[in-house]
This record gives sequence, structure tokens and C-alpha cells, in this order.
Amino acid sequence: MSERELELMQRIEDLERHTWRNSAILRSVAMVAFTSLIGIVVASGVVGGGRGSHWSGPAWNTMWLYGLFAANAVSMFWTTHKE
Amino acid sequence: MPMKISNAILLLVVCVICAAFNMQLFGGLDEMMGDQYWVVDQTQGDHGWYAMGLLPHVKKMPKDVVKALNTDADPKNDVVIYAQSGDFAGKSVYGICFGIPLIMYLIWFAFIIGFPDKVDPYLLPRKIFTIAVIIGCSVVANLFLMRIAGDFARDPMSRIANVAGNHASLLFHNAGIWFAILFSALGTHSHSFSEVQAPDSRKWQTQANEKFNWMFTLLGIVTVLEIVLVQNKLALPDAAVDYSVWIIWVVIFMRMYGFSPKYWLKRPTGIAIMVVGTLLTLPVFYMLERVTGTLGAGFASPILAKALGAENQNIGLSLMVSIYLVFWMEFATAIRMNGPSKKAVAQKF
Repeated sequence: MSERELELMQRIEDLERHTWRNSAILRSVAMVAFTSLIGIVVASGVVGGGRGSHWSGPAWNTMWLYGLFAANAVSMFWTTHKE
Repeated sequence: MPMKISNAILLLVVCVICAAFNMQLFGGLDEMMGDQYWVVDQTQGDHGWYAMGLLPHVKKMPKDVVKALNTDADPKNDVVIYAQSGDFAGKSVYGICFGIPLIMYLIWFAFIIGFPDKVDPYLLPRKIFTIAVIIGCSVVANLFLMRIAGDFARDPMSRIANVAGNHASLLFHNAGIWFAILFSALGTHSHSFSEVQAPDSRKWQTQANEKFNWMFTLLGIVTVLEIVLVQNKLALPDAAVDYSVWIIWVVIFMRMYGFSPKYWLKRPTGIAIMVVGTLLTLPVFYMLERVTGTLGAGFASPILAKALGAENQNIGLSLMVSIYLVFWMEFATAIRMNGPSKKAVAQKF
């Protein structure tokens, strides 16, 4: 390979690494984002409970559970399977 | 290559011992209260709180005294109830509460550290550090959430450790799993100064359609399943907790065993481990309840029958089945026996 081609290959690999790294960061951002999306709803449920209400629905542990759903779902969508 | 059977047993035993240790730790908090409430001692610290408002100064107070103070006409003399015995470990539904730390330790040991046969001595320090960070994040986040839940609770008889989560052990261990998944996705435990080689994506084909189609199909199936379970009093009546574990089961199942029946059919060993493991786990907890009398199984449970009436004695069955299906599914992956039958493919996480 000529020097020019080697340089181009180098740059492509560099870009690939950075793309991969960015996708990893976006995955984590998605996990946190979806967890808080669900968590806000659950949190308002907790706040809405109290005197005079018969609320017995989600508590904070449910927020973690739906967070686990979000995190696992994001991981699932980033998994590939060979047949 | 699947893991050696001795290593698989070692992994299982270590996870069970560590989970039991954690449950004893939370059980110890329960025992400290005895028959009394832990109330926030507002004469100490900043209105009874210290460590940036995360930890309460607690003192014991008899339940009838607290009830008299908090239900009279004067709201000024109310005390803040932190917990009563049972709010931390959840021994009355031990089978359910035990499953969560069990899954947590499985993820920590097998998927992060690579215990027992894939421990990389070079990466071990940063993996242990990652776990330390997970523990720190879980403790701080949950103490913070418990404080918020306590501050927002308007019922004067509500208990902070219970408002924040039916049993506090569930909070800390679920967060331990959540942060483990998060940091694994970030690559914290394998991070190095030079960036990793990107996988070669030139021959990749999209699997998005089958992922979405079968995820919604399976979610529909577990929705019907959950409705049936609730109507037969085999699940908690509000369905939120039970249903969330079933939908978690769906996405983990698809991640571990593939995205459609054409993958599942080729993975009979992994699916068998999941089903048989669960079927063997339920009798263990059934026997544990009969032997100890205090550690409830969550199904066919005299403890639940006594507390909620005989018709509700199976109310934890849905959680027991779904939690242990998730555990054995992850265990099959941890011992690398979830791959297609002709050739074992090691899955990441």
C-alpha cells in the first residue's frame, strides 16, 4: 500500500473507533434517559400518595425495576445473535 | 466452550452465600428495632439528618406512643417514622427478596469479574474498583431517594424505608444491578487508555425488525399472563411490580436466546436450564419456609395466609417464577450454555 492509502486506512480506523466509542456513550445515555423517563412517572405516583388517597401502586423499588427494563432493553437492541 | 461443571457449581454457591450474607445484613437492621419504631431524632443534627441529609439519627420509640402522637389533632408533635422491623430485609417474602441480590452477585461475579475461570489479573483491580463504584452509587442514590420519598410522604403513619420501597433490600440490590448494566455499557470495567478496536461492521445485517416484532409479541403474551395471574390472586393486585419483572424477563430472554423462535429452537440447553432451575428453586424456598417458619416463600405460604388471608397465600408466585426465570437464564449465560446447540457462542453479558 502506498503511503497515501496507509494514511487513509489509519484515518478510517480512527473514525471507526470514535464512532464505536460514541455509540457506547449514547447507549448509556439512553439507559439513564429511559430510566428517568419512567422514574418521573413513578416518582409522581409516590408524591401523589399520602393522606386521603388509597394509593398502593408503584413505590421506589418499582422505579428501579422499570429502570432495569430500560437498561436491559437498550442492551438487547445492541446485541446481535448468530443463527 | 461451556464452563466446567465444578466451576458452575462454585459460581452458584458463591452467589448464594453472598446473597444470604446481604440478606442477613438487612435482617440485622430489622432485628435492631425489635417491636418498636425507628423514628428520626429531630433534636440531633440538621433536623435529625446528617451526612448531607442522607442518613437519619434514629431512636427507638414504642409503637403505641408514636401512634398517639401522629394521629392526634396537633400536627406539630408528629414524629417522622423511619422504619419498623421487616421494612429492610423482607423476611416474610424471603424467596422474592433473596432473588434480587442473587441476580446482582451473579452479574457482579460472572459478568464483570469473570469468576471463576475468566478472571483477568491485569483488569481485576479496575473491575473491583467498578464494583466499588456500583456499591457507592447504589447506596447514595437510594439513600437520596428514600429521603425524598420520606419528605414527600403525607401520611403521618408512613414509614420512610417502606414508602421508598416495600423492602429496602430490594432498592439497594436492584440499583446494584442497574448500575452494573450501566457501567458495563460504558465499558468502565475494561477501560484502558487506548481506545478499543471497533468491531468490523461491514458484514452486519440489521436485526431490528425481528427484535421489535418479537419484543412486542412477547410483551403482549406476558401482559395477558400477568392479567390472568392477578385475576387468580397469584400476583400482587396492583400488578406494577410483577408486570415490570415479566417485561424485564422478555428483553433479557431475547438478549440471551435470540430474537425469534428460529433462534430459540436452536438453544434447547439454555432454555432447559432456565425452566428446570426455576422448577427446582421453588421447592427449595417452600421447604425453607416449612423448616424455618419465618423465611417466607411467597407462595403456598402460611406467613402470607396469616397476614393477608388464606385466599392471598399464593400472591407472590408471579414474582417468584419471574425472578428465578431471570436468574437461571442469566446463570445459563454465565456458564456459557445459552448458545446454539451445535456450537457454543459466548455472549457478552
